[in-house]
Amino acid sequence: MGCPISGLLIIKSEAIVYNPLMKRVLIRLLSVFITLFVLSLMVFLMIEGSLGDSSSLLLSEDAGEREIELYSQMRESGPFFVRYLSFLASFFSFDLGYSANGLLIAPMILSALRITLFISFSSVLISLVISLLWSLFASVRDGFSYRALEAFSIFISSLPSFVISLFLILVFSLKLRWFPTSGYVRIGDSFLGFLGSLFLPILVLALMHMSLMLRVFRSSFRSNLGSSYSLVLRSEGAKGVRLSFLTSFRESIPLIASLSADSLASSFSGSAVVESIFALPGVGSLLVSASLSRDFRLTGSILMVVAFLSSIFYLLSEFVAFLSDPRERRAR
Amino acid sequence: MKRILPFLFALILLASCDRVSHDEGLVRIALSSEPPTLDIMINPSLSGRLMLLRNVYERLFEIDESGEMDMVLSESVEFGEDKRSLSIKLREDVYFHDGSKMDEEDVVLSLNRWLDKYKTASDYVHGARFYSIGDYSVEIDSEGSLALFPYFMASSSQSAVIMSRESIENENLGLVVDIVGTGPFKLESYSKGEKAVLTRNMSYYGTNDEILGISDSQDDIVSRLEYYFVPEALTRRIGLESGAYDAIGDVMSYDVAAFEDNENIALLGEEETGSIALVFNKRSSLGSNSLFRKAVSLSLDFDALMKSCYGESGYVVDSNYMDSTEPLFRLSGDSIYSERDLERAKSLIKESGYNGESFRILTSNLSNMDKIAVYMKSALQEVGVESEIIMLDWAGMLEARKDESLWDIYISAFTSVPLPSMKSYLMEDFPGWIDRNDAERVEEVLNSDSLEEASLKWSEVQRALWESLPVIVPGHYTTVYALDSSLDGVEMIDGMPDFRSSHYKK
Repeated sequence: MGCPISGLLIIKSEAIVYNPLMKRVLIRLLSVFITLFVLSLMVFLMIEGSLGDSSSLLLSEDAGEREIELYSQMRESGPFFVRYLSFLASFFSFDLGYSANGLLIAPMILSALRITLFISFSSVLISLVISLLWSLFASVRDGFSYRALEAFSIFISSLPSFVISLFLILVFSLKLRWFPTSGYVRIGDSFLGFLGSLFLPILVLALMHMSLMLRVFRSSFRSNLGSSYSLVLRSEGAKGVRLSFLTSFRESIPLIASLSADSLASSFSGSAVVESIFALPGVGSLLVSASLSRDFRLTGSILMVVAFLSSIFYLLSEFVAFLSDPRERRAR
Repeated sequence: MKRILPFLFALILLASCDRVSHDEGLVRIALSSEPPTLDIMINPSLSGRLMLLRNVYERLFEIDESGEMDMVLSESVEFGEDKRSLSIKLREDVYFHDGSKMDEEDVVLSLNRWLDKYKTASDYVHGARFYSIGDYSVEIDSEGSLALFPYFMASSSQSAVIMSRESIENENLGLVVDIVGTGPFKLESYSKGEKAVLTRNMSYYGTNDEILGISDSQDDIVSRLEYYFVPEALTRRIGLESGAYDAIGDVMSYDVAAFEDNENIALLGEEETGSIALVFNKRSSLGSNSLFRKAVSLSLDFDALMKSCYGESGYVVDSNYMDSTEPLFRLSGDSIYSERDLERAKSLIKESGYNGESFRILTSNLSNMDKIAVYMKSALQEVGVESEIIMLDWAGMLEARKDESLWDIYISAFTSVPLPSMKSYLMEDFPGWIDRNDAERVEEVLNSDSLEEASLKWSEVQRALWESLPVIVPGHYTTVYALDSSLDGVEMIDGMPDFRSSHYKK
């Protein structure tokens, strides 16, 4: 038997190797790091290959070439790989350094992230609740509910987010005067003002998510109704929405988790347009302004943070899918 | 769920009622762009100066409309013998926003930093430095005449403002990040990508009375300025119309007519704030050919060119290099190559030896400047010149124009400057690379003992430049601001709205 401690270690390592959940966690964590590594390299190469740097924008037209050169040297100096490794090291030590205009990056991203995360989570939550309920009703009947769902879904998916935003501003801000047209109110200044300032952006994003969720959920619920499990339930007297719910709910958890993660991740990339129209200081608008001003470190940091969060969302969705599906758990 | 729904509905309604009310002491201004940095000594962007110059940071003196010096942080200015030295007596009752008293050391440090960062000014004083002579006075001596130097100090877009010693010593990456000035407003907060908030400095020195004294009741005076960064023109417009903003910048030409019909909105500022310049590459075969340059100018309809960029309004067609904000340097005439003449253009092209090579137009997608390039391409096609457009974003264009092998002409917008020698495209080492002779003639304008003398010298130089055409200026743009019409006391200074004395009509 040998040393009890080494025996314990063996048992533990076996548990890690043969526990499918742990195996998945390790594989996914590894893939998160690989994603971040590849992304960071791509960002770096992209910025290296692009014309211009922040000095051209920060300095005046009247600044001589000599001043611009001195200024550039003051910022990122040294060979490509040295700068790249320094960037990676600062990211993983959570010290993101300073942006091109001398401000600390970490608080800047945190402040923007709070807004984007709030509107992203809220919009996904709202779209999930509405889409699930609507899809349940539409899955049992081919009548008005289904046709309305189809029409709504196609209509919304054919409209760009800025058109939806402008339409909502016209109706809710200019005509009804219920919500401000743009701007952000901090939660500390006024809680109701905070909700009011974010309501329309959340609604726009929720509508965008719903256009996909409605079609996918309805189709999934509908196909589940033809399963043998559904027939058993039907023979036991279940029918209508209750039948659809009982048949589909458990089955659909992996799908819900996966779509939610996808919507959350796409909220980050899609929020730039909405944030720009509603003048919200979120991650999307910060990324646009950082890349247009060739702020290398800020652009890279935002992309890395967004990629990291997106990976975490996908990771969580996999766990949920794994835990809710016995077939997955049994698989080795 | 049935209990939660009414609660949620009530919450949404309550939130919706919480619209920002019209606060008497607050002005919310939506700007189209955010300054790259708040260090206005380094970056001359209009948005940065609009927010901070005169509000937060002040200069030693200003130049008023009649060209007279208006003392701000200084009490008097004296020239030494031959105008080769300049001594400035400072006010002794000025405090920075951090509570420290302004002294000679702050002023010397600030002005020498300005000289370090602003090549044109440094060249003008031949590398001289400011130094303290005690008794709240500073001085500078130069090898050349300093007659126009106060003008430089009072009006350069890289602003010669006075910053606190601590803020300069704490600069980060070469930029001042602690915004501590002496002005009637102090920076309360700055949130990148969102807004900058200024609040009234209640312990402002002397001239506060003048600013606060514009109304009988001090309660009327605006005590808080909030500058929002709103790049979308439509969002700015809707925001003003709905009352979310009290003033907006960069009003689009197509919005001007709508605002003119709206009695709740007043328009401000039709002044020229800069010019469009088509800068030839004097190091490329086509750009260095004087006959070809003239042919290009004759092939263009300047009005159509400006319209392609600005629409029906928002510009003035005039080939003067200087803007109308500097009347002393504005000639009444026009370039003889500014009237479109296709036949003459064709004959000049033939004479120039043009052999069908592609004329490369470098432009950026900033502020519709790419549309000017599209117009130029079609106009040049009419006279038989093949051209190609190289379109990049602004930062890319700034980088690409440094490479003389990439382009033959570039399109850019240049903000107003008070002296011709401050026009960067008239400097020898600036992309475009003007001939040494032309650059020297421009520099010579500075060696004048008075503005009048400089004006006379410039009129000769301008005529010569209209003949050699290193740069075509087809017109000047105006920046229009729109305000809530109940807001009073907003004046335009140097093409920027000044809200220091603003107040709401009762």
